[in-house]
Amino acid sequence: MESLGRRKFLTSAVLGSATAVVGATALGSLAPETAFAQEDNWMLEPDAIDPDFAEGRITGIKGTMLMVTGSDRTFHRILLTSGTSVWKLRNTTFDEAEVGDGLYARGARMPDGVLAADAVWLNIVNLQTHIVAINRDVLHLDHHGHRIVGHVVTGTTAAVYNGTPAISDLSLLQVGKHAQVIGAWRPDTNEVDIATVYAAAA
Amino acid sequence: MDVLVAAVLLWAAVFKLRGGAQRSALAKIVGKHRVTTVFRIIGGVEVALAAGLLLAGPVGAWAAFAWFLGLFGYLLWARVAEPESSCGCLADKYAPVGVRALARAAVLAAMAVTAELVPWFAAVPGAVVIVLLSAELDGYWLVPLRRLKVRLQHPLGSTEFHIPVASTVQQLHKSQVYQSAYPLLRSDVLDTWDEGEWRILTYSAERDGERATAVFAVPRERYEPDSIRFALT
Repeated sequence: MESLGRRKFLTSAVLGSATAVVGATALGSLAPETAFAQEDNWMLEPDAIDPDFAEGRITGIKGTMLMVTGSDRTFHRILLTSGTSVWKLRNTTFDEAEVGDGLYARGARMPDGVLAADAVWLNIVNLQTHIVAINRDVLHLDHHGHRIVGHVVTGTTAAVYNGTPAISDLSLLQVGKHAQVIGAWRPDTNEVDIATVYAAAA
Repeated sequence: MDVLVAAVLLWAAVFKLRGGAQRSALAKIVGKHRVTTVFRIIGGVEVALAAGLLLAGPVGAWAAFAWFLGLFGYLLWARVAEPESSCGCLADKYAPVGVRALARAAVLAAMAVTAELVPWFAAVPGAVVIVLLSAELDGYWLVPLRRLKVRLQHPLGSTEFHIPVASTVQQLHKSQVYQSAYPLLRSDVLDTWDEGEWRILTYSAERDGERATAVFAVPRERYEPDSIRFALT
């Protein structure tokens, strides 16, 4: 967590007086075309390895440097800074990273091979499942014939029904129905903590 | 009892003669293009076994016993060699080979040879056991049972109401402010906290090569993407 002082400062920056509006327009046009205008600096061959992306499992942590072994055995060094967003079930901080966690990281590759991460997602999984059973704070899921235990985390787990905005109410989930689950895998188990579940409500 | 075993065999045969060899582990032994033919042959054998069981006395019973033992062995192999495959035993419905399918093959083998030794009404619990062990039939009794349980208990209904951060992020993504600021953003959500009616989300950003923090204030309990505020510090 950032310090309370920093939060206070940022809050006043965005909510205090007219600075917010000035800040937004100072960027130039608010039209979406501006957003797409910058797309062409993203130049990669279709089959090239994206140098600014890394994937793997954490094999060591030294200070704010993560040692990561990719699933193709590539070794990555990933540097986290105060500007790196860390996701582990929810947006969190660097201290929650543990050896053994799966990881996706995006950032900028430094000349010495270190990936200075902008964003890191720990243990994130995206599963197409069927709900097999529902118990207290647990969804039993079938993922292509494999049983997965999905834990509901009060205060974090959200549900999106029929593409409407996410809500905390999970009571519309039904046994036997399809559900897409975004969650955080518990390493080396068949269990996930559920961040968001997408389902159709009858 | 032998009537029950014969009925299961016929049921399996009817399903197999109608086709439906998708995802069966058999494809690995006989090749994908021959699977349907092999399935038909197996179906025919099962009809013959059912008839033999009812008409040929002990010979038929021991033939069925050998058949189920073979099935047990095949399932054991399929479980190891093709864990993704379906049993393909009794129905088209996808049912991976599990302990239940193995137990069913063993129970059927035992039933085939002990039919003479147990009274006829032992077929009733026998049939129940077969149904319980058939993953293909779960849709008829297990799923409705679990639905009923969920309806009565509401295991997930009691959680207190709050606005998930995911919902706020969705609203933010819909806003024009976010879409125009998007090229500056470098990270995912960095931090979030609530400030009265607002929920504040921060991202790290980059402007003219310099690091900055993008701060968004999103209405927490209303859906008003147009009133989202933004600052870059």
